Amino acid sequence: MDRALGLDTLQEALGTHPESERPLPTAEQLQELLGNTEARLFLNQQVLPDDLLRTAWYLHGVASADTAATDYTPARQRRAFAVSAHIFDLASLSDERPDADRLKFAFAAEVGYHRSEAEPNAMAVARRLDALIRTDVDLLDHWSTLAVQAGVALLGLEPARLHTRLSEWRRQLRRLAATIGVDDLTTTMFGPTFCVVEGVDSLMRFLTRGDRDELNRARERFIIAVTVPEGRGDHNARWVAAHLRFLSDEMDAGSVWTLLPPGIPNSARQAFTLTTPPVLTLWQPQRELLVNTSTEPDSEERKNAGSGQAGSALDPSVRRLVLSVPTSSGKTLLAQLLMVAHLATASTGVCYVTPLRSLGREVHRSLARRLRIMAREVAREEPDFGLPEELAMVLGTLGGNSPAITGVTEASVQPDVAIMTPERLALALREDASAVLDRFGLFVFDEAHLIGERSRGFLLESILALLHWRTRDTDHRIALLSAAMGNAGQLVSWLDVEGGARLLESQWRGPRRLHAIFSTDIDWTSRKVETVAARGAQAHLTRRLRYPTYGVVRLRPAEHQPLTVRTTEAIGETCFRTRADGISGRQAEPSQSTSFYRMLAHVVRYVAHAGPVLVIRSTRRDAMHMAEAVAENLPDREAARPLADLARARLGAEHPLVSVLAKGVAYHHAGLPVELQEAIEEGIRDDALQFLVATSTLTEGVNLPVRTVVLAAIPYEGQPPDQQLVGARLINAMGRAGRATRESEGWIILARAAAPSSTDFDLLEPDEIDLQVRSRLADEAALEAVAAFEDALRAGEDAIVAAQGALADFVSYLWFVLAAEEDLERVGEAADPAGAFAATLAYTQLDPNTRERFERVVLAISDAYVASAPERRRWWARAGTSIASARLLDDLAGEIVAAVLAVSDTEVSELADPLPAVSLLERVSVFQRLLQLSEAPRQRVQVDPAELIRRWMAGQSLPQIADALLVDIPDDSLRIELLVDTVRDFCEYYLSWTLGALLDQVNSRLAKANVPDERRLCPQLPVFVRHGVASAEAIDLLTSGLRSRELAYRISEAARSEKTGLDDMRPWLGRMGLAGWRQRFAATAADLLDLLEYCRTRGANVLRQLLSDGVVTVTVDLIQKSPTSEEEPYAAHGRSSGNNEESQDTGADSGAGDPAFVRPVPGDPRPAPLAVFLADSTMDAPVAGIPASLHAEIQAVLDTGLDIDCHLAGNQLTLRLVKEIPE
Amino acid sequence: MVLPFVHTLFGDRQRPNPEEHARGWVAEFIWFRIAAEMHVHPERVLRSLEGPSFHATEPGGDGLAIWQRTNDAVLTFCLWEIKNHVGISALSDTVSRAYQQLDTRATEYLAKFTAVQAVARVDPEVDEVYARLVDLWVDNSDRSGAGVAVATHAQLAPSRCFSTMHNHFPGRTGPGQLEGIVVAIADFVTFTRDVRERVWTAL
Repeated sequence: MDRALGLDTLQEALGTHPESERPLPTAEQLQELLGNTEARLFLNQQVLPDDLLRTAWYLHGVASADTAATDYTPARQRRAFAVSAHIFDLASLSDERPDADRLKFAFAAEVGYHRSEAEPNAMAVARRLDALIRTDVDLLDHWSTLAVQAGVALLGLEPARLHTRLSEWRRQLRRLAATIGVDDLTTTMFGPTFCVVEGVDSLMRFLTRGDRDELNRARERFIIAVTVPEGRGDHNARWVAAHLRFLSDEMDAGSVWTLLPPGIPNSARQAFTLTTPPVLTLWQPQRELLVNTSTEPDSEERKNAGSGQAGSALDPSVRRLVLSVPTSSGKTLLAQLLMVAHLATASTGVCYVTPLRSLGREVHRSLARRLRIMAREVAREEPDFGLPEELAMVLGTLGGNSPAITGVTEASVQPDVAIMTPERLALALREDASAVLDRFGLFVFDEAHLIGERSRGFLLESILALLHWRTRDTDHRIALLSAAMGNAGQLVSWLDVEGGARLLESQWRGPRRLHAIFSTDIDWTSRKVETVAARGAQAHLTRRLRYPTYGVVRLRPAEHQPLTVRTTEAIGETCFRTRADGISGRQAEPSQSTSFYRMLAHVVRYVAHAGPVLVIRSTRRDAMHMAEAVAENLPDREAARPLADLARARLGAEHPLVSVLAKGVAYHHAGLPVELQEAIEEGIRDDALQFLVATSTLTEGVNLPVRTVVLAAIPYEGQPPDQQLVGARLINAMGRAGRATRESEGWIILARAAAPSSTDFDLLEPDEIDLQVRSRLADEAALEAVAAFEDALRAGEDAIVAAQGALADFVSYLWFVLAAEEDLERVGEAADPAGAFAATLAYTQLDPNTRERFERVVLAISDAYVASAPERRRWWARAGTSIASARLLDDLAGEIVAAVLAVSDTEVSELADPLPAVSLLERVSVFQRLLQLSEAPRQRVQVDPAELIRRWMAGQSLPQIADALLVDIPDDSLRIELLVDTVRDFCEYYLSWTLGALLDQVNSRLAKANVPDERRLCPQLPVFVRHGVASAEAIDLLTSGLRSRELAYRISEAARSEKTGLDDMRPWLGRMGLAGWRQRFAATAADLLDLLEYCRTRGANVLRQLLSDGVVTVTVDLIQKSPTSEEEPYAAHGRSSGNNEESQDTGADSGAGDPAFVRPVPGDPRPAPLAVFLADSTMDAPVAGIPASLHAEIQAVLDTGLDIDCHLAGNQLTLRLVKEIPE
Repeated sequence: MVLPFVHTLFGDRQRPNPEEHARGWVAEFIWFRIAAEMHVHPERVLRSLEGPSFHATEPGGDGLAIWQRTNDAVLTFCLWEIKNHVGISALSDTVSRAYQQLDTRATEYLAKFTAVQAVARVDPEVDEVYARLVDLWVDNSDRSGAGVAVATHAQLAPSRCFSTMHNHFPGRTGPGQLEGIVVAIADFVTFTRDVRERVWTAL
């Protein structure tokens, strides 16, 4: 429910008025007018009553008034801005109105949104009206709206785009001044417009670069625009200028230049303002984070808000932070602010933890862009399992530091941020907890509500508890983020350390929401009767009655009473069987009726007029069928063709996903290859796809905003609780509706296959209880496990081995704590397992009696630990499994050691290779025995694990493996799905984990027994099993951001055939360039971006150097002018691009050479290569190419929108920052 | 040198703006001169006058006059809609259209001036009126007035005009709350063309 349109808000905005003949609408009438307008928008009817517009301008007038001259309260003015913005936003939608009117409405809406703290909606309005911002017409032909255009464009806060426009407008205005014969236009009738454009330019310079002289210049320009006598007749320009004058102050106050604490260097601010997406002003929750996170309204901190760092959550004294803010409120940016501020002021790194791998990748990409400007790096992705040395060994980078801690990367560049899953962090902690704490000073846990998740919840809790416990007396900081924590206050209490914990809780979000319920309505007055030849039990039911069935949507904008709309035509049939009289014995006949989901598909297709649609279904089958129903009768969609091609290549032409993708429809679930899942997510984000049908697993964490979310997940019996669409899942699913900065409204449609009820809308309000984050140790199953543990103790049995479920995880946690204590030489009574228990969330949530029972469990674990052999007990902690499984693995390791020792000397060299290693393990029946451990995933299909691993590491495609191993499953879709499940559960997860633990123990024992080094069992095997390749080159690519395993395999094979070693991979690939990658490896657009990032010269810092020194010189690849050459003219020619970082300098003779500019090569598919063109040449052909190793760096420079002056001298390209644009 | 200024109002000989625009601008300018000349009046004194927009095609609200009543020193305002009438239709149709536009677009015009004045601040008394313009208007305060001016051919000038204005603005019953001006020029079309020609001679 959108509270901005609640009656109280409307009443306060409207104020009270005497009776009159032409009154304003009352609050109730205004709400109804708005509700009706919203409902018409749902139906794609853009009609706005004059009364609504008249009221909007009234409210705009009230809101804009000089507060010193009226008795309007700031609260009323703020609400008046909010309500008027909403109306103007709706008014600007209508393309039947003149452009000039729509621009005015847009600007008024943007101002209202900005001044009522709904900035993302202002940005959305600007994006929608983008086509009306013109630079392709003569100035005098549109100067009546130019100031409004400039205002609209400014408030869109897209600096690069605005910069291009301002450059052109300013050039035109200078030409006009020259025509008139004046130095500038200020004191002419064009003065207000001229001053607005100049002021906008200055304000944008301030926002992007923090130059306060420019801010003051902007303020002066806006005041002159309002007051210059010669311009009094330019009413609109003066109106725009007046608002921008106020907004300059507000944007200053909300900018990173003002809000980030003074001790943070400017490069940290530029990391936000000069990278993509640019962050020029912060939103309300972010401002709260930086100014004051106290929830006490009268606290000293709140009173001190704005005075430097007082109350800022960035203050190092805030050691624990819980951020509970909705989706679309800039939660990701909150995390980035924390991380960047930490890196800028502390000497330690940041560990960002998310249980969701695809979220981790997304955060990696966005954060890497920001950090680059600070000359900082994000560590490469490491597998969740497999011990840390393995990856380093594969890549030959094992050095002094543990790679799990440093992140494995080029020796010269130390990564500052590591992005990990909880499993990865747990592994690193088990390996060396002290090293983790030495390396990282800030731990950020995203999606923290997943503590309550059944399968992985306690792992997350135990990591947090361990870190919390170990850092009670240190400066380490821990931050929890979530959009769905009903008891955030309790989590703050849990993590509080001497009052150093803070809570930031906000309900703020940008796009408003419209709720709707879809149901069907049978037309009982109209039917068709058929006679059927019935048999069997229904032989007496010889009549079939077909009733047309309509779709009904009940809409509820704000607190308005629901409005009902009905489809104009039937969207299906509902059938019944009766006896011959057509009345008696009536029975529903679902098999002949139109399925509910097929009728829903009509509505799904309909609402796509407003933007992309996400449909949530309960099962994978449901998702696939829904996607097929939506795709019916849709034409092919050109933008989706690359995705369909990718799916065809990865899944085979017959897979059902291919045909729906071609029409812009996708389905998405865990049974699809990860590469394809991510491509589909990207397809929705960039509008290549219009429809996405997914299971509820997608809605957690992934940044996937859409215009409309359709909740069509019908619960089924036996559905796992973690998959039901309630609580946090419901919040997260609904949170996808409305793309912040792209649209100001999102729609949520709940599909109900039941009779309409007045309480239907309540289903869109999650129960408070479902939003409580509860420890898994506090649930019924854990208490039963405690009882069983106690029984086992009483019976004198081995309770440690008998522990089940979350209690087994708890035992592992305590065991690990005891091992870590032992590392610090604290054993027996010197150890503090009770303290580690007290650090859990469970401890704060259990009642005293249960807590005492757990304390007895802790004692029992301690006793068992002390009673175990020291060497073995410490390894059990390291294994990461339950203690029972660790013991079995330990025993199994002994058998493998014996098998390794039995290998003849002539064959021993093969042990280091993955395939012979698999064969040896197979001989000891390792795989079968691993599958019997309690941690083993459920097998949905029987597959020989060794055979699967061989094919997987050999780089075979999923269809190839599926065809070979799942030959008995005829359904193409199901075959692939089962294989993807199996590969994910076993290769990527379980086997790489347990093999990692096992081989670590095997090789340790061999080393301790002084067995020669050559007799070791392939230590890299777990990494190869995880990634499905068997070469260091492919692993290097995959852990450096390349998403496609098959592409990594192809490239590594090519590298090997050309004898290119790991060290030469980057220059070798870089020389091929984008064209070469397309041609040789059939790389997709996403692959190309990944490869550009892979080839990027680490630590090149082109943008950093440009900003700090004002100039930078790079070496480019001159194009060999050979008329006979058919090679791409802008591809690198290998003459100079090898080590570009060495050729960078500060440009002592910069400025020499020919004026030039850099841009993507026109006509090339995206991402196009960047090339250098001569400015004064009439030839539209590039003279040099930007090497692939510098592509990302130079693109980052172009993305800033800064004025850059380029000169090319030989193969040296000099880029220089310029203050003023050239004439 | 003056081309850009002339261009925006009248176009040039090669690409003249529509005559309707030129007539509209001339009508507004005439009203502006008349209003300025009437700055001293036995019952009120003109404190501020917002002239016509440079962009004559913008409908609704063309002029704003802020007065100070002499009897009680209270500041009032009158919002003007200015039209020209040259066609064969009845002048009353033009006047009715003016009433309607004034009614629907008044809050827009006034709100914009409120925003401008919040920055332009001149003197506290005038600022107070600007700040409250929309409230005074929608509440039919006796401090708010509506005015319609029409420029036309002398032969089309009616003997009675604005007789139904009170029906369109029923709440404004106080003295000076409704005003109307008819500007009769012998041949308004020719006059406008003459103005335009004289301006073009400066090119």
